[in-house]
Parts: sequence; C-alpha cells; structure tokens
Amino acid sequence: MSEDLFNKKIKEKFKDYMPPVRDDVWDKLKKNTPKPVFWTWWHQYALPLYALLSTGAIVFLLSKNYFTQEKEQLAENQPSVVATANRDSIFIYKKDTVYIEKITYITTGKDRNHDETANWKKMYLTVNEKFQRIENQINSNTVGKTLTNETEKSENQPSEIKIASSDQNLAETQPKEPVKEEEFKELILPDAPPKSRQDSIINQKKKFQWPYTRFGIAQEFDLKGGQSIGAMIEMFLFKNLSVGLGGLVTRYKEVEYENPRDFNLSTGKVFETLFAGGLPASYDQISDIKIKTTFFELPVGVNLYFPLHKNLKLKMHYGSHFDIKTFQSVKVETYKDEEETYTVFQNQREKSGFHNLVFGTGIQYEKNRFALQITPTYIYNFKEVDYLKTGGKFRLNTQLYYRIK
Amino acid sequence: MKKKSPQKEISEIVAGCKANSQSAQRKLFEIFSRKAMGICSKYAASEYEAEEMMMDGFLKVYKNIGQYNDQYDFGGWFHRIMVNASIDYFRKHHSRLEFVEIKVAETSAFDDSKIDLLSVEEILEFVRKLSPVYRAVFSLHVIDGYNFKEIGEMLHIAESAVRSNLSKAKHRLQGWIEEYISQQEKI
Repeated sequence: MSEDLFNKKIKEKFKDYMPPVRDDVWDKLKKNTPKPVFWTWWHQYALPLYALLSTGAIVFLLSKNYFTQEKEQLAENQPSVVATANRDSIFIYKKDTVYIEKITYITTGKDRNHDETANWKKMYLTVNEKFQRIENQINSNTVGKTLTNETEKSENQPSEIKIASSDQNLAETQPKEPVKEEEFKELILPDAPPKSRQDSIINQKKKFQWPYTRFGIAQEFDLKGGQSIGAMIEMFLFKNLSVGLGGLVTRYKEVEYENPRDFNLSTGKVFETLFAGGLPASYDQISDIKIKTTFFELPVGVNLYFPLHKNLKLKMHYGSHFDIKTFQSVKVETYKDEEETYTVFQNQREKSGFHNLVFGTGIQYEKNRFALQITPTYIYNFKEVDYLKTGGKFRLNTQLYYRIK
Repeated sequence: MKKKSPQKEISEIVAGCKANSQSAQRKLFEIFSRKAMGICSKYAASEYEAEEMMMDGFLKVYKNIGQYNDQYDFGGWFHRIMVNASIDYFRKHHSRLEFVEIKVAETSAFDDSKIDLLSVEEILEFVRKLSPVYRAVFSLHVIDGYNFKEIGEMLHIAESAVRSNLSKAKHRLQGWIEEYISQQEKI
C-alpha cells in the first residue's frame, strides 16, 4: 500500500514537468530532419536532368555544325549539285567507282643522256594536263565511260594516264612489252625527281604540328566556403575540342562539432574509429571538435566550345577531379578525471582517387592571347570517401588562360 | 479572426510534417519540445543526455509520422515514441551494464509524505544519481506506468530482474530523500 502511495506521489510530481529547452537545439535538429519531396527530387534528379539538357544541346550544336560544314564542302566541290539542291531543298549524292591507271614508259639507254630535269618537267606537265581533263569530264557527268582511249605514244612522252570503267578490259591498258625487274631498277632512277625535292615533299607531309596550347590559373569556390586554387594546361585536339589537365589545392571551411555524436550524425562515420590514431590513449569525454580538410587534386576533363559572339564562346566541360593527397587538421578537447586536454593533430586520409564527376557550362571571353572563363560546375560525388558523403554540390570555376603561340 | 482549436492546429501540423514541411516540423518542435524534454530527463544522467534523447525522439517522430493514425490522440503516440527513443539511447550507450538479479529485495519503512516536501527538480536530481539500469526501470514503471512484463520486453530482461532492480532503486532513492530532508531540517 505504502509502495503504491510512493509511486503515486512521484508520478504526480512529474505529471506536468516540462523543463525549458535551449534555443540552439532546433538548429542542430533541423540539419537531420526529413526534407520535402522537391528537395529530395532535386538532389536525386538534378544531375540526370542537367546531363540530359547538356547532351541535347551538344547534339544539336554538333549536328548543326556538321551539316553546315558538309554543305560548304559540297558547294566547293560540286556547285551544280548544290544549285539543284538549293532549288528543290534536297541534297543528292552520287558516288561512282573510277579506276585510275598510270602507265609508265621507261626510256632506254640511248635516252639516258637527255637532260633529266627537262624530262621530269615535261612529264609533270603532261600528267597535270591529263588530270585536268579527267576532272572536267567528271564534272560534265561522263563518269562510267572510257574517258581516254587514245594514247599518244612517242619517245618524248614517257608517261600516260588512262581512266577506265570497272568493266573495261584492263589488259588493254597493260604495256605490250613488259620490262624486266632488273632493267626497271636500273632505268627508273634517272627519271625520278631530284632527291632534295623528294625530301622536302616528305618533310612537308610528316611535319608534326604541336596542338594549340594555353596555360592558365584556376580558382574555384563553393557555397559552403570551400576554395581551390591551382594551375591548368589546355590542349586543343580540334578547333573546338580540347583536353584540360591541372593541379588544384582545395581547402574546405573548418567544420565544428560539439562532440563525437554530432560528428557521427552529420557524417555517418564514427569519430573515435576514424581518428583513433591522433586521440589520447585514454579519456572520459571528447568535445569541441574542429576539422579542416585540405587536399591536392588533379582536374582532368574535356572542353567543348561553341561560338556565341565575336569574342564570346559557350564552354561545356566534362571531367573528374582525382584526389592525390588528403590531409585533415583536427583539434579536439578531451577530458580525463575532470582535467581538460587540448589536442591538435594532422591526419592523412587514404587516397580516394576517382570518386567524382564534374559537369560545367559557362562562358569564355577571349581577347588577343588571353581568355577568361567563368563556369558554374556541378560536382557529383558518386563514391563516399572519408571526408565527403555521396551527392552533388555546385562550384563556381574561374580560369584565366594565356596562349603561348 | 476565429482562433483554431488546439486539436485542429495539431492535425494541420501533423499533416505538414507528413509532407516533410520544415515549418510544420518547427511548429511541432515548439509545441512539444518541453514535454519531450520532461519525458527524456527521467531517463538521462544529465541535461546533455536528455537533449540528445529528445533529438533522437523528434527525428523518429518526423520519420515515422506517416504511420500515425489521426483517430488516436497524438500526445499519447508522441509520448510512446519519446520513451522508446530514450530506451534506445540507453541500450546504445549503456549496453555494457548488466542487470543484476537481486535475490532478496530490501524493504524499509519510508514516510511517503516526505515527497511532498520536495520539488520535482530535487527528486529528478536523486533519480539522476541512480545507476542507468535502476533509473530506466524506476522511470519506466513508477513515472511512465509500464508494467513489469512490458519493461522486461523493452530492456530484454526477465520480469524478476525488473522487480528486483526496481526494489533496489526505490530503496536507494528513499534513503537519499530521508537523508536530504533530515539535513534540511537540521539547517
């Protein structure tokens, strides 16, 4: 009976007990509350939507560019076709197979005393003349017929070209008295162009052209106070397509947690496990955790440019930021037997390498050798790393380039 | 302008929380945070622990509010969620502590009228001095009215262990209260 009365009186005391709550509790709580549907939707589908729109824009611009180029090329090569096409708004392409056969007559011993240069010039002019004739015939739609049947054979005409349709008997075009291989080797040398000219032709063809390259500095900012700075190099594979590579040092804003629990709730990691190496051997309590993350990253990407105006270009960027080294500076207060200890340590995180994708669309202003780019980018972290959860965030990327030639 | 009835206001807030509206979540917190703190305080060793239990409880409320049936009293549902959150916290942080089955429960004569001389804060101070195990069993049974079987299921212990731990907790509490009052009387 007495027990019941004790319970009853205690229960009565606590019935309307409602102690005050500190003001900052809601601020801590709201970070982890479930978010509205549109918020979740934005986080989940922003990237695919962005990718879809960007891809659509690229396909549209590339196809437009391709058809314009093709039209220009056609206008250059076959003006009659384009003229017809312009009237009817239909392009007609016709392709025929044409065999070009070159017969070389080799001069014999008595001609070897002739001036070689004069012979070569003569031969060159004759071949050129023939080509011109062939081209004229193609343009006047005579392809498919034998274009040249008559050959003028004389001692002064060492070369001849024949064009024959695929069904023509090729045997007719063979030289009647074939020259033996040994004789050919011996005799052909004097008719070849001078060696110095051969070399210059080869050199012209094989000369390596260093891609259009520019160097620059880059700076990035994110909405949470993170900053990056570094150098970039950009090489153009084509007029509007380039690859970029660089080195960036990124520093996130210092993050504070009241205690390990706050850290665990916010990051999904266990503080004591993650930083076990830097914490004191024994402690009763940990509080006031401050973490500053710095890392060296390697941005790699492809850039596409589309002209907008005189000096302005639309830039689309796709790539990734590879983490090379990551450091975390950790400050904590630990308590042991009511004695407070302040600990600071550096914690090098494991290399995370490839864990994100970067997409950006911005503008470029170019003047003389300088180019200024402002590109809002979206970085999607598809793999969770020690200091970063999966998900995306926006960064503003600014780059200033200098063209070296 | 006609003022909304409290029940209607709660219904609207609950509907907002079901749609994950942050303003509705905040209103719910403003209305129920003190009540939640009162529930969690009895299970916590400090105000800090009580705040953590309360935050866990609110997160559970927000996440599971879709399961709440409007036909029942929201206050009762909320109370149960807060107690469960406190017990979950207790299990998570005091799992190393073992429940001791005491063979003979100690009994002694205690003048129940002495409780009237104390404020709720003073009683809470004594409850917080109890070990986590005694505090959980005592609060669940004496203040929140759970029976031994329910407590056993919640804490995963035998009913007999619940009885013996409760008896020991009460005995300690009564001893501290008597001592405190006698000191007060001397002063």
